[in-house]
Amino acid sequence: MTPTPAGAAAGALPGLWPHAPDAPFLVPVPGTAEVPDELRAAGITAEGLQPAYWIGRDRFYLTATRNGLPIAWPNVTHRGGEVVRNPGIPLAGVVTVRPGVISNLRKPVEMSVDDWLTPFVDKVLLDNGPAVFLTGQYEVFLPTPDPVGLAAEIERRRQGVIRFGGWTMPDAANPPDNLRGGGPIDGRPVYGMDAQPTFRRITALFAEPTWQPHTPAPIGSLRPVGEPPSAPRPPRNVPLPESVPDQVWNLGGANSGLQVMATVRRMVLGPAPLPRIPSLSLERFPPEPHPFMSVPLARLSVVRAGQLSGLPPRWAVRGLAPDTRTEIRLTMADGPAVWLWGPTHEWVIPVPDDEAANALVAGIRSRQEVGMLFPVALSSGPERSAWQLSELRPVDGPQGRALPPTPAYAPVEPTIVPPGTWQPTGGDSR
Amino acid sequence: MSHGFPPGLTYQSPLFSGPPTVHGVYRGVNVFADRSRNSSTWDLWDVVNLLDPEVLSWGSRHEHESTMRVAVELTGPLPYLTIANREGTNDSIAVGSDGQPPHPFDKWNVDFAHSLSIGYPPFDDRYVVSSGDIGFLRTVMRPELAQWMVSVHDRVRWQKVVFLESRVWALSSDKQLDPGHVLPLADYLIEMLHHTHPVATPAPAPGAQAFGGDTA
Repeated sequence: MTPTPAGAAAGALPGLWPHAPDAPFLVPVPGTAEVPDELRAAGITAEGLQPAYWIGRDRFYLTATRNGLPIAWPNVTHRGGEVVRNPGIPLAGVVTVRPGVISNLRKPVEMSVDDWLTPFVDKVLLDNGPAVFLTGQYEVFLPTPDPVGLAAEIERRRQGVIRFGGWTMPDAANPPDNLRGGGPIDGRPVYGMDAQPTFRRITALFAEPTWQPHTPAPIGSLRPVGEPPSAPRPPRNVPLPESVPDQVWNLGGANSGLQVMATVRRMVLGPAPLPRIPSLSLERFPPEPHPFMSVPLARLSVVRAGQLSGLPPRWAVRGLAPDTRTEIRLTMADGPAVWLWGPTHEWVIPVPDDEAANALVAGIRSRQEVGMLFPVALSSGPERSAWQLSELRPVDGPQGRALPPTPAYAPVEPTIVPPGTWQPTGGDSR
Repeated sequence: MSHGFPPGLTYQSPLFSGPPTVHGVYRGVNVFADRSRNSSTWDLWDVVNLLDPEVLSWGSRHEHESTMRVAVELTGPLPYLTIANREGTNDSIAVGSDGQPPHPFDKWNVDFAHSLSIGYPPFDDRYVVSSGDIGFLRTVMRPELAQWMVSVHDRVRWQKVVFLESRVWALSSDKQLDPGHVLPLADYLIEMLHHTHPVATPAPAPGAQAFGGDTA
């Protein structure tokens, strides 16, 4: 557990939170990290990896960090023959968020982590001390020196999902019985901060741990949503996917060693030169762990050019590529940028000039249309796996198939830069 | 013995020397059909199934059911191509256990690794087309063929796989080898050939009428 200054949640990504209040942040937990079989076969070990909870806008998951940086998951991984999709536990499915202090544990409790939850963590350790207790489908303790602040922040995000909706909402709208916490109290279901933590799992294993609850703090304000709706417009004269070339942009300025590439189906970001990804990739780790991050174009709802201004100095978004070693650091400076947002992904890419920004937006949109009409046939392919989320499914009309409209809960500005620093310059190109 | 098949088609069911077959000339085209077990050896499950047919309802059916194939002969050797119905396919299996593309007869293993969408969403949502030759696939899978296949998708309950291998344009089904099932599938194949590119042309049958002619 990393001590952090008062007022900040434990393990907050340095320089990123709370200045950008909706950005994902990290809460390190003691435990044992591991690496997936594919990485182990390539000689990568878990040494130096630290388990941590990644807490996003509408979901959280257990992952590993190195030097405080989270690993960018591939959105689909294969583990033990099973396909792991859409990593994350929906915050909408969290029933109680409760700050407090654990005591009287005789020794740390080793809790093994289901392989399905994360490929990067083997065990987490529960020990005495201040913590936030989440119940829901999974019971989670987040150790932190500031449980009241962390609980208020998680509760704020949870309330945002409940109020505005999100792709994780179905988990909350129709919760299974084990999402109902301790059961009804005074004739109403347990919900939110009113609930008392149950020690289901711990009391089953150990005698008499003590939970001293704290008084929750009021939550902060919710972020605005409401992208303007767009009418579906079926594309005309879409080229065949095998005729669409990969397009590469070199990022200038402080990011001058980085490249962005739009292939037919994916957006790739990493140190130059970027290797080609086979267009018929089955969405698993390639034999060599890749030192870049990628996102399927079918998962992007908002593709917009804009202008960043008034950023704090040395503002950067950093993360580790799925090889768990290569740091990808996007240094943000005032100037043109492209904002990519989808229910499961968000990128902001600073580009050298407006022309590059518009070309990037147009290139992504046209390739999205190609992927929509010529998807990979496999249902775990980049398009059809994205279409399992209804917000990302193309719209079929009498004129043909069209890209889906932006979800109503989409944010109006990027959440990974401070509020007020983003100004859109071009309308959406579709 | 015709077993109800029209003149020109011969049904044979050798007792010990192989699976039952139907062959002959139908609508001016050389047609061949057979029905064979998917597994070539007998094992304990077959004995159990013989003793208790109820076991079939939960046992390992896929390995032991048989497949009926209907084929028409083409003029020239062509590249490999399959069209698989998405219903009943297992798309977690992209390659066989040996790393090779699955055999086209195996309807549970569709060759997703070599599949391409053809750009007509109603078709792509129902079928998976695979070929080692992209140009050939784009040539054969013309929009009119895709639209025709979608238009008759609910009318003809065929088949898991249409496959093209060398000189044969064929189709597999789990139905019985009787006229009520073989003839609609043969009609389907012949009509498909009307909608595809002329590169796939049926071989002239000796003494038969022109391609597509009705039987006497």
